[in-house]
Amino acid sequence: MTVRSRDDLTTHPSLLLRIRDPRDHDAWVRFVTLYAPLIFRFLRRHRIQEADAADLSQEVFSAVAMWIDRLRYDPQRGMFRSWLFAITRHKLLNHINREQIPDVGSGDTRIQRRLEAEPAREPPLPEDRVWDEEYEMCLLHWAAEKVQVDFHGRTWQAFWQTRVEGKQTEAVAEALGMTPGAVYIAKCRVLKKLREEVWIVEGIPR
Amino acid sequence: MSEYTNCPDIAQWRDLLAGRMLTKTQQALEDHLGDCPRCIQVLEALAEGMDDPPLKLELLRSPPPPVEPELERVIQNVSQTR
Repeated sequence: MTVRSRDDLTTHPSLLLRIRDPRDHDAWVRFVTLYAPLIFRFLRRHRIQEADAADLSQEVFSAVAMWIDRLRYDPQRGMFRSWLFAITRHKLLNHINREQIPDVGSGDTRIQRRLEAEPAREPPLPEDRVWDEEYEMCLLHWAAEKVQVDFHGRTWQAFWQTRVEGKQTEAVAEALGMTPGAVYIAKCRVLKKLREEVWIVEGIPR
Repeated sequence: MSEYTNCPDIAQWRDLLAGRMLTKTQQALEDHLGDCPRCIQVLEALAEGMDDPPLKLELLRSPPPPVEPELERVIQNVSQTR
């Protein structure tokens, strides 16, 4: 039995390809809506104040817009997320370094007070794993929100209850008034669509 | 009882997932799935993807946090930069 999964995905230009075109406003908005929460919350988790986190997030997007053309396309999943992580972390570390170097002789007691209040703060440890998980969570929630509108209530519920909540197919079928076969089909249709959405974002050359 | 004495061709499962199927044929496939663990595997493999890491769907159990006002501002500002 040969099941070539990628052949079954619909062909769409990936979001990462689309944002290379500065005229594609829709792609840029989708990109920002998807990744801004990830970046902003990563910064907030490192105790960056809201306003600073907002400014730094905007700097990250500026960097992405500037450098996305040079990001070599690679079918291997995970490449873009690592690249985005590197940019975000770089901005974070720069910010922390700027804040931790007081002006010599400036007598700026505000900076001094802040340093004293947070003497133990150090540059954050690498957090690739946490970043990856939050990246996936953002991506999945985003994709799920898009996919859900394409399916009727029972179809979505069949998917949700079996694949997300981990309930048994037979139990879900009974609860939803469906046959087990219908539950399998519903689950698989939603799953395929969800996977397509994820691929549209992360992209593979086709 | 399924009307299929043999398992359906994989192309039919592909059509089913793509929504390219008559209701009557879909009903027959649905019935077949009730009797055939092998075809359930085929269908799931087509949906899951064999070449890709599985999606971590359990991450969907936690609802996404609400969008903070400052984050909303970032999204609006950055969206308008193009």
